[in-house]
Amino acid sequence: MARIIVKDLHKEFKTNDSYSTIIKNISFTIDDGQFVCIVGPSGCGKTTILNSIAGILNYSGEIKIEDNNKEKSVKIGYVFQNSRLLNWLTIKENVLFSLQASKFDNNEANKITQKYLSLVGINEISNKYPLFCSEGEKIRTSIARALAIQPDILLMDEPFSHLDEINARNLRTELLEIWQKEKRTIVFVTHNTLEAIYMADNIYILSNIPTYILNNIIIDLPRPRNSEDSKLIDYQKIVLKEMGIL
Amino acid sequence: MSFYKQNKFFIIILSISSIIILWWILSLFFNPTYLPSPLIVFIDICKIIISGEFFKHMLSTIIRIIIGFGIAMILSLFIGVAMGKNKKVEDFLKIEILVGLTIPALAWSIISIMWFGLKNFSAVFAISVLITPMIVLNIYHGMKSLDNSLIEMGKVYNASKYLILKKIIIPQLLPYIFSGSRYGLALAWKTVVIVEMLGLTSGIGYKIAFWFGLFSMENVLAWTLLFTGIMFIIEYLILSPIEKKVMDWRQSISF
Repeated sequence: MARIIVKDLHKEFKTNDSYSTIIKNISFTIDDGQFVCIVGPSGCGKTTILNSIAGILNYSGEIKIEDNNKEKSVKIGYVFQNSRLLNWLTIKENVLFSLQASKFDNNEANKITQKYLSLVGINEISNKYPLFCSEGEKIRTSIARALAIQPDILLMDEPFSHLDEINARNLRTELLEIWQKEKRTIVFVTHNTLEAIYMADNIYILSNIPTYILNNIIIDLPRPRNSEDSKLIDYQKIVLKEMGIL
Repeated sequence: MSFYKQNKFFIIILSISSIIILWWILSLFFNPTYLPSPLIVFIDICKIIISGEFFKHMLSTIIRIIIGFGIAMILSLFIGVAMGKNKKVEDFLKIEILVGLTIPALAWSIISIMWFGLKNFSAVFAISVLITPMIVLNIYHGMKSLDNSLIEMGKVYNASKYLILKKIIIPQLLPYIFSGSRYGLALAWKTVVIVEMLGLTSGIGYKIAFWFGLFSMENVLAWTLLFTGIMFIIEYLILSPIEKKVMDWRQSISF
């Protein structure tokens, strides 16, 4: 379990001979066990923020991940937008990969893999190859792979955006159930404002580039939430107003 | 199962038999010096096999190919990966690779014999130097086609460089290594026969040249067909099954 502190995150990208600012000094804190959504227009740098937290992108500023106020080496699970499975490994071997990378012992890794394959409902396809699986199955595999290492932080980059509505709804509910059970800190990026409101404790709303935080909206609705609840629409109006759409 | 699938083997047999029948019919109209009948050639094939000559010469040829191919493979992996990873290496070696691709097998075979004499090493050298540029190019393309997002995924999960190489990079390079090897092996066969014909004293090429010198078409054909037969066996009993096993994660596209 971990707390993420982002301070003055600033990111520029080089285009031809000049630099353009994508992210302009963003600061925010995500508390231990929170489910936070980041919404914003396309191209505003949501994925860049996730990649900076994941440590695969250089940035200026400070990103600290703390556990009980001590800085520690963190385990990060990342569910990418395009699942990024290894097509030459079976579903089961894909989940095992994250455990092997974290140097889990073989027997234990197999047991944990079994557990998360069942949790995410893909036990029956554990011997299939990804190219023969549906988008929903691939995303579930990606989620199992991320959860298997018991990550301190789970980063999710528009994981349900390629799915049909039925699959997406089921997965949202299942993800929330897993989150309630395992209490991981989750940073969930989406461009779907209703999805954000349904899932999050609070939402960071980003502007267009150069990106800064327009506002942080706390979603004060009891869980489990009802996707037909009209209060979701009320919150959506607030978010869309902040974004300048309404 | 469709009629075709059920009878695929039968259709192959039918195809081969038709060629043999056509050959036999044509041989009735030509001087046997130019086109002997299939029966005579078949008898020669049996004699060559029973006498042990085929095994002896085939072995020489195959050993030269294995060593030459092995050296080429190792060299190509190093060079191909280096060129794929480093632009300076790529720019530096590009010319040599392109030139290497255009020099004909015959030229290298002659140069090799002039340098090293009528020895096994000449064949091995000619094979290595001819097929290395081909395999290098394939591996280079494989390196350029690597999906960086998967390597990134590996880094996010703190995978060691070894694990990333084993589980992410090499599986992506395999199809390129395979196709490069296929072309390379085909060229290696042709090259070794040329070097053997030019002056070695063992091997399939040597035997074909020997019988050419005596103008015995039936023996030339016999040795050629035996050589072809071995190529088929290697392709269907060794290469294709390995390829299938390594690639069965790929979806087959049906039209």
